[in-house]
Amino acid sequence: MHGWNGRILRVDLSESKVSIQRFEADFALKFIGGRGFAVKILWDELKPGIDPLSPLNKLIVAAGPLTGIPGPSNGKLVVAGKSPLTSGYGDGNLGSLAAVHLRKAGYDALVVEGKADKPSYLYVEDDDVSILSADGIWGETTFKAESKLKEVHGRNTGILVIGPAGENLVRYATITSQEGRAGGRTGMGAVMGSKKLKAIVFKGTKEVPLADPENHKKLVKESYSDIESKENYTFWIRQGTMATIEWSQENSVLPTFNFREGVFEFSRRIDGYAMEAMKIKRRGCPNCNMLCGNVVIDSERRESELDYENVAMLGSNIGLGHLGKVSVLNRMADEYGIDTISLGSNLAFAMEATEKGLLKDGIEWGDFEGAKALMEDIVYRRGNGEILAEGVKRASEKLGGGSETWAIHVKGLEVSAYDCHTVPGMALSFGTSPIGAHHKDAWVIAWEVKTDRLGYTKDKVDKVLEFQRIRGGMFETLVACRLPWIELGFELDWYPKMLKTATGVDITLNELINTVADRVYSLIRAFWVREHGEKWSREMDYPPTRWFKEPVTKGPFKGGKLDMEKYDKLLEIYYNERGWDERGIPRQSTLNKLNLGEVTNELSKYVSLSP
Amino acid sequence: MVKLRFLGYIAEKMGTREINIEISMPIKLSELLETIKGINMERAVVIVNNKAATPDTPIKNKDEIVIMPVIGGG
Repeated sequence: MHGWNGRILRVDLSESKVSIQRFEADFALKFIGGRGFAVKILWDELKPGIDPLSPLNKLIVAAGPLTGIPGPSNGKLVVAGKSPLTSGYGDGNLGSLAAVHLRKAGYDALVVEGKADKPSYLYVEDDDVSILSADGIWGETTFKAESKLKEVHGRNTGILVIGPAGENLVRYATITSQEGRAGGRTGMGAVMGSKKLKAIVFKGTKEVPLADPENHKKLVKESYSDIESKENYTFWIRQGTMATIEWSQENSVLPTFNFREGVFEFSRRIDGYAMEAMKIKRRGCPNCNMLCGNVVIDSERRESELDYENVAMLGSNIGLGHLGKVSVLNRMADEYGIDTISLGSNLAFAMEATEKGLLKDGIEWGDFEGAKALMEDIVYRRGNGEILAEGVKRASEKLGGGSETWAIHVKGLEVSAYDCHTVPGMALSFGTSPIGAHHKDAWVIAWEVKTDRLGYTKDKVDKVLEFQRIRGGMFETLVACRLPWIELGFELDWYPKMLKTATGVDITLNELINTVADRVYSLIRAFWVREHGEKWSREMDYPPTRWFKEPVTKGPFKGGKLDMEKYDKLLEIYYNERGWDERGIPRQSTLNKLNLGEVTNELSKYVSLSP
Repeated sequence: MVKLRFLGYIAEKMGTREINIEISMPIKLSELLETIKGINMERAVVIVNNKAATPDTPIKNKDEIVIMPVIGGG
């Protein structure tokens, strides 16, 4: 094979055992890589009902055939497992030199199972794999731990690390790298922590076998030039995703005061122009010529790497209109290894719970010092932090008092930074995202605003599906960053060309975007349904109640909210298009059509399947 | 006076975040945009008074037009 190494590294921490699993072309072509590999492994190897924080869970770090080889913005990895936050399929994506080194070490994925008997880390140098003591780094922040590991193993390594949040099993702890790249907001950091695994260090010295290295090199050189020629390239270099603060404010989708509103009075104090005034440099993923990490000096004179999601969730969503202070919260979250989106949501939830008298010794809106202290309490599971470390869904179940209405999540995953009172297509996207509410898979707001913002139409469903197939399907299986395409207009046609020179195989865009993507989505859905059995219902795909019951009170769309009956109709169309039944469960015929016939027998043990 | 506001890279391209244009009578959006050059409606989100606009949308004084990039949501 070319493009793929054809090897999955398997480590059993309980048995201190290391083995190599080889795979052939049929597996590679059926699932491509990344998310595809991850869900297939988890489907085959996890029994339903296991505790995600037990040794029975598996942590998967997966690349795709374009990952880590020369190519635009492809230094990314998928990290996956059963999510401690949602108890369903969980994954995330982060950029790291670990992507390059995993592949150069000769692997396409790593599967970690079991649990070490004491805090440990993995060192993978090509075929040599060691489980080493994490003495001296367990308990450290992600920044300090990574720095110490580099002193030991050298700077020419790729490191994935968890912080105290993961060690303390905070359900939305992330895996981080390079002091600002983070992924796995579905609690993948907690999965690592539950295995007493502090870090994974990769050092690869081989080359990934390419089918046509000469032409691949030529194609890649052209692709980088193409990216730099795009009309909005220079503005992207200036503001990256931070330009979205102004955009979201303008379009009334900026999450404000726990997603009560879509506009924030102080948005200009935290927008891309405010960031530019504080910016000192950019950082990002390997192989990228459009680095999106804008680094500022925060209010405590430390470096903080910002992007839109961090600033919206730790800024407008908690009523904090001061970018220097938001940057402090962001940097602390990266150091602790906790997801900024879910953290922002939990802080806002706590603020609202305090306002409504449901939380004792709580926190006021916009209280910066209070937010710092509460973040530490969450990370170390103290006081109110103990409840909030569990996520807003569990916190609201514990607090009651109607808080379920404003616990802003889907399937237990806190909603990322777009308020959807008045954009029903995006609400559908959040409702049907395969990991719970996340914008990664489909972001349709610009298209909605441009066409028929308030409508509930089949066109909206088609748009959500189109984006899910490309963003959540193709890019998450190739494991390359979608930003060159979605932000700068880098054409999708480049990807089958790069696949051909890398792998030697003709894989069409149609195959990637339709066949493989749909297969992966239905398998992820099967994983969720198997976990719930007959208890699974279409209500799992509903967005937060707040968006239906409590209209926005500010901005040009004052009084706007979602309509449940119309949303249900959108969902019905979505299910039909996906070949799922009225419960949102893949039909037998759909599974067979997607070459997932083997899933039917297993799934039908847990739930009755429609034909 | 018609107010035009620009966001993101479109503001960078136009060299300003806002301009005001006096029109003597209502005109179509496409005709107004032709006078300022540099705006491709197909590659932008254009809203007039907070509603989605088309090239034929009628524009009169006191209208507010916002021209934004088609961003990808990160």
